[in-house]
Amino acid sequence: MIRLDKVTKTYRTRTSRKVILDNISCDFPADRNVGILGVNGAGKSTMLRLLSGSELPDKGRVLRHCRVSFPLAFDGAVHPQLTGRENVKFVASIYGHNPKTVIEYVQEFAGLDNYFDMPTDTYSSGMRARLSFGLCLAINFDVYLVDEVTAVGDIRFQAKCHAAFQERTRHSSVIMVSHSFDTIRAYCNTGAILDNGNLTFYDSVDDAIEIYRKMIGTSLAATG
Amino acid sequence: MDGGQEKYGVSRFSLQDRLREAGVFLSEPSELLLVAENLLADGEIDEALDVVRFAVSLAPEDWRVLRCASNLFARARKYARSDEIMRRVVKLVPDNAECRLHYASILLELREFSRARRELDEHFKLAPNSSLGYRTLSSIFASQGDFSSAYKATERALEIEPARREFAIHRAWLLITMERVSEALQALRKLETEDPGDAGVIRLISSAYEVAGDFDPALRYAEKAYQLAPGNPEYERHVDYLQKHLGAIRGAAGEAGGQSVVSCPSVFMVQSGLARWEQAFFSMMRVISSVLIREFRTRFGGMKLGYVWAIFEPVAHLALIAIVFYYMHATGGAPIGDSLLVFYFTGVLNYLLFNNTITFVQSGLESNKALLKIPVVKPLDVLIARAILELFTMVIVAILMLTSFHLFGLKAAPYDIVKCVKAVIAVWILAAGFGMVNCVILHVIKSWDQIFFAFSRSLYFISGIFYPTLAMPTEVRDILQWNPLLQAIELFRSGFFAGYDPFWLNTGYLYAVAAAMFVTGLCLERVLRRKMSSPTW
Repeated sequence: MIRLDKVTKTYRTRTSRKVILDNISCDFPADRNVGILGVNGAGKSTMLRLLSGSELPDKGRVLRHCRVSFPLAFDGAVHPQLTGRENVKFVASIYGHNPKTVIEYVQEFAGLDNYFDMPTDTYSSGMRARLSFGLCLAINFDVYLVDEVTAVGDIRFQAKCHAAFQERTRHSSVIMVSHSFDTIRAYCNTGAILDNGNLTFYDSVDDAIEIYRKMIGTSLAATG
Repeated sequence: MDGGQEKYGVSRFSLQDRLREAGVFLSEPSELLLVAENLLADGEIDEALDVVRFAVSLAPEDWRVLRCASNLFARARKYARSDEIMRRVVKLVPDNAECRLHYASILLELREFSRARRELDEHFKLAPNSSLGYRTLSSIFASQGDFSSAYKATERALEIEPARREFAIHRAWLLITMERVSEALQALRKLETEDPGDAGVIRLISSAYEVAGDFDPALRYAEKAYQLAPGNPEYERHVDYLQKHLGAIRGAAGEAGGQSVVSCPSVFMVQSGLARWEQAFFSMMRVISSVLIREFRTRFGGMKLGYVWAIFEPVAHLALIAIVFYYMHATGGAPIGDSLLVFYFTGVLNYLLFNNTITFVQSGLESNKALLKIPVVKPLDVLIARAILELFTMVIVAILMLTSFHLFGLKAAPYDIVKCVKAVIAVWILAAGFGMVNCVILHVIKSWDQIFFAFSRSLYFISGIFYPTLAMPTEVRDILQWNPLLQAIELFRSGFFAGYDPFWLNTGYLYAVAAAMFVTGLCLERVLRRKMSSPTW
């Protein structure tokens, strides 16, 4: 379970401060897969970084009583000058996993062949994403944070990801940010909307999507 | 669907006959409800519900009958029907607290949380000190995932009615959910001694251990719970899950040759006292050593021989000085020791350690942005790893230099190695402190490294590296002796050269400044951590 305790997070833009979370207290229960919806710039990615702990709130605390992954995004935490293998070895060892097992898993999962022993700055963006995806899945986390990475690679790889995630979600949960309603529907059983510093949870994903649709509709009408 | 309707009609028809045969007074709803309750207890759910429907149709305006019917529907898990009936009941008797409470619990089952809260508010208006009300409120909060509010509500319920066992069990469950395991276990043990045969309590103890990551006792209690309640499918599944999980852990551990693959979870678990610090310490060591290797590999732009350059640079620095002095024929007349070159080495080595550590540490966060996205890697880990790598580099450089001095026939063996080590450590701690402070300042003032560079360069000339402190005029020395780097170099030299023991050397001062700088660095990092974690900074 991840708990937000009176969390406030603001962002400094060139002209003003943007409020992403405004004194929010809530729990992400361990047994729920949460899909977070929000317009561009609402701060969804920041939200994930807050949950992961790589970014800290301005005020309040984020309590993690479980192993939370790093946000699984395109670039990931991969060092461009190290090879795929070295990167995997590194992440495995900081999480206290056996590097050999993790390397085997990622090698099989990402299917990079010879590129696995090349520096990752020689990779295409798809290959890098495949590497970080495999790397994240290779570590046993209780909560996987996923940032809009469902369209990685070809259809075969997507199917592989989907299967791997289904397998993981039996024991772990997922907190996901996506613009694709279908993706959220496929993985999540709870919806949440991040809007103007508020995070609202909805018991059903469909409710959340419905309300979100209306919300974008009205905001479009208001601006145009 | 049609078949179902048909069956329904048939069963209803035969039901009335059977009831009549059994001598039940058909027009008396309360009697019918009793029959329904018995049927329900026998597991004849469909028939029971038919009887209930029949009773309700006889007395649609009698709230007592309806309330009872709702209860029976709820027991058969037909909450939607209960909802319908209770809606009528609260219209008929809006001021009945018990009905409001019952309705709230029905709505809770239907996960209609806001409506349940409304009914409960009505209930509290009528019965402000209702322990069951607070207990239901707790369930509503818990169903929404707000466990701390749920816990508060349960506490309130227990205040009103402290002896109620179910409240205490519920409270223990909440504690487990919030992963306050030790409190939960304490409460559960007490409940266990009160009634050792309570399978539910035993099952919860198992969960508590499972949450704590302690799977052996978790399995033991799970099996015990299953023995107490053999038919319970959930208990059976739980035992099965724990067995598989333990098997997986042991299997993985065996595969890795005794080195447990799944050993990491406990690091992240909430644990009490010493164990927690111990785990955190080992986690930090693991991260630092991994970052160290990573920095080692990428020290100079990921080149194959990148690290060789890290060693070559200071060696070249010293070699250049050697060549210059060789051609200037200035080898004679060292202020201390036999060789001017060795004398310079003792100063330059410490200066380079100081300067390189600061430079390398202060740029640590800037050049590791991707790495810091991994939450277990804290900024401090990176800085410490970099400082250690730099110390390691300079130790190798020192060994290389001393060996080559020896090969060239210069007398260059330290006289008191412990003193030298003390000096090197002091320089290093001081530099690490400066590095951390600079790293924080750099976030605020982008050009700080340029300003600091001017300062650190000047240290090259005022730390007694070339111009020996011994030869300084007293007034100059009185001022310059406050320079901690000069003090460290003097300490190093007093250890390196036999018989050199300057009276201006004040090791206490040196250690104090080094420690103060290091602590300042740690504190600044702590204070500005929140701001520094944000990528916009």
